[in-house]
Amino acid sequence: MKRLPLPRPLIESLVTISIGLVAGALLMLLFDYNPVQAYRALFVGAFGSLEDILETLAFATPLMLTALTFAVGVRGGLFNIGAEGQMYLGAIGATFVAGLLPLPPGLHLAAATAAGMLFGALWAVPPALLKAWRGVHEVISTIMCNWIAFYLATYLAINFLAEPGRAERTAPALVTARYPVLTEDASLTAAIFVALAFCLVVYLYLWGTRAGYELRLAGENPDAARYAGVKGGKVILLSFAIGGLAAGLAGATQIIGRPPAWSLYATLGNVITLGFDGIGVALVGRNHPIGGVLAAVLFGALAHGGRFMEYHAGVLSELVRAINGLIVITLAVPELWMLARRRFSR
Amino acid sequence: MKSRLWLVALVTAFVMLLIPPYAQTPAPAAAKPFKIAVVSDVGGRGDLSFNDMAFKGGEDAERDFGVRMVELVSKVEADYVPNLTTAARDPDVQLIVGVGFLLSDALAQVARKFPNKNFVGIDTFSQFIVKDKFPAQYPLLNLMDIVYEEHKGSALVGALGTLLAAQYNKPFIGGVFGIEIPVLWKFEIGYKWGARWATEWLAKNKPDKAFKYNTGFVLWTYTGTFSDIPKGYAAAKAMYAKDAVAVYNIAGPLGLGINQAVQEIARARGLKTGPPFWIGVDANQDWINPGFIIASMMKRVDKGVYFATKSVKDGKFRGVVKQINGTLVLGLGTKVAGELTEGISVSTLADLNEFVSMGQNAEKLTGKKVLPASPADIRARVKAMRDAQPPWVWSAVAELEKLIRDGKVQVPFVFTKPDIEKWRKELG
Amino acid sequence: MSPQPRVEMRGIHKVYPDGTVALRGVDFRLQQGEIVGLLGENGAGKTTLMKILSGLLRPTRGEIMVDGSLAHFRNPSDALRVGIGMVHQAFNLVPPYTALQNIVLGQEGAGPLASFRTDEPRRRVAALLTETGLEIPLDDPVESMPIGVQQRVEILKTLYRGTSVLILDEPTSALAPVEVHDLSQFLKRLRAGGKSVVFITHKLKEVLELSDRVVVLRNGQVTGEIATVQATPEGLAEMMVGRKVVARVSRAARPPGAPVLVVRDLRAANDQGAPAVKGLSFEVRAGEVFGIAGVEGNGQSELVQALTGLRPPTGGEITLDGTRLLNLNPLELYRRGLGHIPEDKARFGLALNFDLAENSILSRQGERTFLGALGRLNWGRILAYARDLVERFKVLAPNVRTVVRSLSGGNQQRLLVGRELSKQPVVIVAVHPTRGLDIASTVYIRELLMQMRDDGKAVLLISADLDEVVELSDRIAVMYEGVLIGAAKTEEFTREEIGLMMGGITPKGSAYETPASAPAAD
Repeated sequence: MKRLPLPRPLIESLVTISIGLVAGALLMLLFDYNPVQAYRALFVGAFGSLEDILETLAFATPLMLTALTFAVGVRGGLFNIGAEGQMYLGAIGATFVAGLLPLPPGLHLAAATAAGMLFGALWAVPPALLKAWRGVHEVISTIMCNWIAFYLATYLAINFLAEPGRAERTAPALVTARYPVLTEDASLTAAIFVALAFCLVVYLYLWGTRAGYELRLAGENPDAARYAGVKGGKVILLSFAIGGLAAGLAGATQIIGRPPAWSLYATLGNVITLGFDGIGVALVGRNHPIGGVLAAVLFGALAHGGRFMEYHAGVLSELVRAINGLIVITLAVPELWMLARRRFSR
Repeated sequence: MKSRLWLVALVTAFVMLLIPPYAQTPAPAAAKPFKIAVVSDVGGRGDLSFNDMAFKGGEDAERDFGVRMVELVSKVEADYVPNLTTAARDPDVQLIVGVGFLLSDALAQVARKFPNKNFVGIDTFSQFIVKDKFPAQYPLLNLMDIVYEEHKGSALVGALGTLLAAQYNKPFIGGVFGIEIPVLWKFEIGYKWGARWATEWLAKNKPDKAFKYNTGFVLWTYTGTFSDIPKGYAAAKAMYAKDAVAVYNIAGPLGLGINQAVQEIARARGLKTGPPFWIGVDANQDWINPGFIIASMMKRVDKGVYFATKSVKDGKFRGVVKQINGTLVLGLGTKVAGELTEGISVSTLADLNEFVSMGQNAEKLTGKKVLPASPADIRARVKAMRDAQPPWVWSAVAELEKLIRDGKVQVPFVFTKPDIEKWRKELG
Repeated sequence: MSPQPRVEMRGIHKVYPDGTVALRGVDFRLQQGEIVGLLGENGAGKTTLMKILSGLLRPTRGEIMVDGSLAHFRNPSDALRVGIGMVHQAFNLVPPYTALQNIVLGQEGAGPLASFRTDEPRRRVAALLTETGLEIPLDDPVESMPIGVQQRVEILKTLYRGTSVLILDEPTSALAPVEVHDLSQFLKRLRAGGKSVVFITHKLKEVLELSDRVVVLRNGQVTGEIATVQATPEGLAEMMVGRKVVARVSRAARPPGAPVLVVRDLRAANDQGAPAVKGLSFEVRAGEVFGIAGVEGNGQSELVQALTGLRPPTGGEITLDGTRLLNLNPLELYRRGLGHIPEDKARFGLALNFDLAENSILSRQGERTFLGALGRLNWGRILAYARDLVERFKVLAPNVRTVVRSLSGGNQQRLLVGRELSKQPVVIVAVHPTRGLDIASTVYIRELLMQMRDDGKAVLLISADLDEVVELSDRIAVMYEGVLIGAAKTEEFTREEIGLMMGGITPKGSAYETPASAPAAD
């Protein structure tokens, strides 16, 4: 860890968080709400009891992974916004293995997790190849892949994976393929440890290996990377593959790591937008794997604590969303600014 | 150094926010307040149908029983459990309503965790989940699923549409559906079954207007969305282009798209009233464009919420749950303890006012114009439209309703893949 | 001189926001019906001065008089209003539009139908064409025209807006010789019509051919002003090149060794696909510095990139120690002993947002010394190596985990040069190695290069700084329009001769001759 100057960005982030909160407070004052009361409800709601903390972390779990997808892309010089679709496919992969393949305990859970990651990674391959071979811009191709994934996943969920008699969702994960719940009736499962471990591994990979160094160099300065003999195509493929694994894992955690449904809804309602939210999380987390974990907790807190703003401080739910959005935008501005500057300075 | 100070200040601020738990407004020494909490599904408030109907039920209960309603809007599926939990943790809340079948799992989980609170699910099947997973606890006495016989209501509007096709000598009726999930299959097959019943009725009673049912008569499209209004417009436009006399909305807000397609034709031909018509769903949607919505298949979600609140208020909730084994069916001619508790009907002029005032409420809430005309004007135009149809149309629908209520005919209830395949082969 | 100049600039100073001083009190005058050549090296301030005159930049200090009265230009339109217009090096044309559409673009007049009424503009443009003697196919799309014709469109566009003071920035840089001739005819017609022209150039020959008067800028100051009839190439070259005072590095005489880097008939294209390196041949021997001087933009960048594997050559061959090198990537080249100090360190040499340690292994990241098992980086060794570099090459930095962006340019360059030298190359290609550096760093880096030479390495020095080339090189050539002219021992040239060659004039009458080997006949 000594290799990374963590504290400075962290302090900067805390400063921007307070700016974001002030911005949200101004919005509330404009609409005649008491911001102190509302924020108190938000914080107590998100962190006030063990139960709430676990709930907040449950919301954070998939987000730290989809944030990783975007972050690894940016580190490699790519705007990979395909986390959404890769995550759908990850959910499908996990659903298939967890719900329909009876396997011995232990192995089953591992296989379902691996299937999710693999499906996510495979879905990331076409845009990567298109970029490497034909120079197709990844923003375009990943958006298209997101839509294809949406319809593909819906189709598979309804026609092949549906639970008999309850076809609005897929067959639930068999008990052998479920991550254990951390406390009784909590939404948080041991899946969060897998997610954290994955983020840590990616961090160590990016900053501690030759391949990670080359990936970051290609993102930081493509000309210098060429000078250093880094092969562009390899970096693109690698960055997409890691991103796909992360997004696929995110999708899997929502199936085999999140009660009560343990399955995928035919509307994809229990995974939808998690991939896009990851972009915001990544920006707040400065496109850093560890920063992304912290930012995901913040997002989780807003997602879970937001309902208490509504419930206890009476803030209109639309306004809660607006305030959360405002906080997130404020937080993302520095990183967005950096990205934009880097683009134009080339 | 400067940033260090910042950090200290921030941490202090966070800690201060955490220390005093949010001040519960000190409860007045008087009677214990009675709150009901309504947890919406991701559709949320303002859909002018399903979710709004649930809130309407809560408002009616507020008015009649002096309870207070709190709302929790779910933004994502993952909000269901925490939203239900939040409501259950409020000591004043005695009844928690979960709106929508997607809350089934969440309700089963949270209801087991809070045995002292009462839970109601609209369209849910939580008790089946309890039965499946925890057979010893079934039925959970603090949990009631309320389900509706939409297949029967759909059969009625299917018949109505078909009779109008006969009257105006039109070749088709249509249906615009949302995402293809099994819940919609009962609407689909009920609608088609009603259409076929109507052709048989015509053959017997109106031979001059009669035609033979065929599998192409009902045009139907699953748009794959419950929110993308332009898709509803596109689907309906294609149906009206084939000269369908009426199109049934089974996709919530997509009804606005269907309405747009109708409005386009009306403007082009200078029509003041249909045909073409469309058919509303869930709420009484007849006021949305008076003269062009021939009727609505009403699913009285509000009555379910109202009934549940009343039974909690009267201390009868758990008794009822025990008696009905956890699932309350509201439909045509359904009864609880000998008392008629219905929840499905074809809209009438009589219940229009209630829903016009729902529109007025929405106007107050959003500050935007919702009603297309003054309430009196709406009423006059809907009445004129209904009066313009021949009486035998309405009496035939009434006849089917009676047959269903008396159990003389059985509308197929479709919920499985083999069933839907079988019925589609038969009805198209 | 006529009493009232058309335009007069007095005491113009310009300091850019980043602190660069571009102009230090320049006076400039232009009479009606006069063609002035504005001559100077890269960075002398020519373009800055003209951008100020055309309203694109605002002077930090100084004033502009037009027809005797004070003018304040907030933007180019203000300048256009008093008849001053500039044609830039990069054209502002809409490629799919026709010449006519481009010329009248933005001047169609008022009203929604204006753009359809092309009769009136067409008449006006046709009149302009006769007046100036230009020929342009008005209804062809601009993208189908050769560069020279596009330039005429651009010039007409400016004239159409009522310009009577025309400023041309390096107008001949993209033109073929025939087109240059046409341009000269055209400028003379303009002059006959009472218009005034300023053109920016660094080519002596053109100044002598085209202008009535020459103004020479160097380092932000006017170093000479002379009527063209009185000017000699030698005089102009000296005004342009001058002498800069920098502490000198001593170069001991040393017999050169065997050829190490041998280049034969090398060809390369620029980014637009046009030939930029047109059959170069030279060799660099062990223990010598071979210097290539020349004004930038004459193919040096393409040459360097072709040599270092960053740009595939279109022909010719390169041998290093007897091994042919073609189509190798930079990493493979470096493994064979090629070191490279790139011209743009922020682009090719360093990752500015990485720290010193990370930059110290850039291009060495695959070496076993720096790796552990499973491709892990051995940070212990990397940090030790980075510390060693910092110490040996006197890089001033808080520590090796400092982000390189926060270092001064001199320290960045020390790090880069140190890294390249520590690779123990056989040949080092150094491009503008001291540009933008403070004097201390400049001297230090020049000393390092000399030390390389004295250690028996071959050094190829490519620089736009004539003093640097003269000071360091054992042999010198000048690169001009893609070829080398006059390669010989440094002592055989005078500075003035080199200045002339940089301006495209070959001394001793032998044009485009390279002693090492004649370009392949084509």
